[in-house]
Amino acid sequence: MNDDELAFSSVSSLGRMLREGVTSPVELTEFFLERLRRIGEPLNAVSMVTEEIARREAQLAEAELSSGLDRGPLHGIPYGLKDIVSAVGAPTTWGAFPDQQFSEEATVVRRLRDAGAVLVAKLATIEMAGGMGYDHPDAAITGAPHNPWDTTRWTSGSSSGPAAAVAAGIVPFALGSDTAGSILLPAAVTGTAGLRATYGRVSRSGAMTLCWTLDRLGPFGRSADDCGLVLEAIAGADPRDPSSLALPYHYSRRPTRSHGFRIGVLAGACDGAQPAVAENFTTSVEALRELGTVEEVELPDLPYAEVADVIIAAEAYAAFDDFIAAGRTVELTAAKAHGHRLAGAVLPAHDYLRAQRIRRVITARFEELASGFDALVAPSLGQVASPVDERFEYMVPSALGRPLNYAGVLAGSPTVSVLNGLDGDGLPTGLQLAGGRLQENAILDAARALEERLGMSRLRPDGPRGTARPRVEAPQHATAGGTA
Amino acid sequence: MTTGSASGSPYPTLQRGTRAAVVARLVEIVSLRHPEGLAQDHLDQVAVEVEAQLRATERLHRFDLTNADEPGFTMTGDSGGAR
Repeated sequence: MNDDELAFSSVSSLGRMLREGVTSPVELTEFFLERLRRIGEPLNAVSMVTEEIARREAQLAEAELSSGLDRGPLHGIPYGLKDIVSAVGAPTTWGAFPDQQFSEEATVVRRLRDAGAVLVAKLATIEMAGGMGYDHPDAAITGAPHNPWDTTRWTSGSSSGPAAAVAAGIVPFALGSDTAGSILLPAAVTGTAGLRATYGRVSRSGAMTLCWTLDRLGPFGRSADDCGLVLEAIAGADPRDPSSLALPYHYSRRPTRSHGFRIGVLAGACDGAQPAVAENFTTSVEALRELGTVEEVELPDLPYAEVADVIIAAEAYAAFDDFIAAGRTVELTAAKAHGHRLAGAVLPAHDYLRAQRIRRVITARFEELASGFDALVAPSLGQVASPVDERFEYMVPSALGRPLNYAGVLAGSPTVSVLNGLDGDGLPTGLQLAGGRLQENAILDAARALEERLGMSRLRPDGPRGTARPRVEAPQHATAGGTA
Repeated sequence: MTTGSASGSPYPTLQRGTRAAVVARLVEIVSLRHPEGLAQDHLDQVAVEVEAQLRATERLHRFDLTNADEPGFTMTGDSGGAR
């Protein structure tokens, strides 16, 4: 196996190699530390390489595995952490404050250590996870992360670093955060799998708060399977996070189902999307027809974006009211952030409550719709990665797959985004599978079956710098069409 | 009135001139809350956001709710806190 194959191996493949003695936790960690320095830092994907922590945890994992103590599928596997999540022994910059440190460790970090995983890096994030507003990719102390598929493109935000790092093969998996799409959209434009699990599945204790009722932490991986393995390790009740669910989560490890799925395709899901996105989505739906039943469904016409915007405006202002009152928004890189959140000062409480009341209606309607299916599907985003040096605009619409994203955001239900093709320039497109609350296994099963059918796991960026191309010949349907 | 039905809401629709006046007043309030002073470009950004906020909340008031419709979080007696 050459270095490239090792770098892009799945979590389960790496686990097999560790147990067969093909490599060791220490070797694997040194391998990814070198890639973080050589590839990750020039991509601006890395906030800090955590060498000391990584070597200590790798040596422990090596000793445990060789003595017969096996902590499960993540034992000895390196990972990266979005830099809004605290890890003792390293700064937690929130993408904005280089010297900021916390003495309390995030619950997810402790859980990953208990699972034997090895923290190798804190990864780039848009400053304050984008919570103060931003409209250009370099609103972060790392600068704008470059997309490994084409370094003239961006990785989207705010989990820019985790998406870039997994896509570039510099960590096998990473944790990101999502308030209104910050896992889903970066996953879509980097060809990675990103999972936003049910609200409360994963403790947020130790992570920066942007919006109490919407924030979620979740994994990026090479595939839906990787995401399921990581979710199982980090899920569960936590007295330090009152929103955490008491229900345990067990990832379904049964062989991939190959039939019997009930899929709902959102009517008009591709309206206004770039041609390659629409074409790859159509191809994916055809593949899904071979896996079960496919039915067109209408998402109820509800004010998703307005509800989300008002909730975030109120909660983000409240979460950072001292910061805003001190006039510190001017410290941020994004000019938009200097005034953006100040509007929350004149948002009436009754309007925030009205948004939360409508949210309950949205949740009920979405659950009613989702309960009839294993997954509802739409493009994760209506476009491929945007230029790394240009302002961006994601607020255009239904065209961008946002209604399904927003419905999942507000309903607190799970959504996974997986790679479903490339455009004519070799840029990834993504498909989102959304399910009812607690139905992670249903959407992950469907995502795994689709991934297997499409054969996308063989696709990867061509190199650390320069325009990327698929390393292997893509299935014909994956490269067809496309404007960029 | 039923939840989510076509709205007969009496909530006022702001006409362009009125909206601009409301935005200006709200921006002034924001400015007064920052006695250290806000630069004009910050105030311009605040105005953009306040206007967007007004439009969003107006849309929310076109969505009918019943008196009993609760918010997405609820106080619970058994857990001793909000859910």
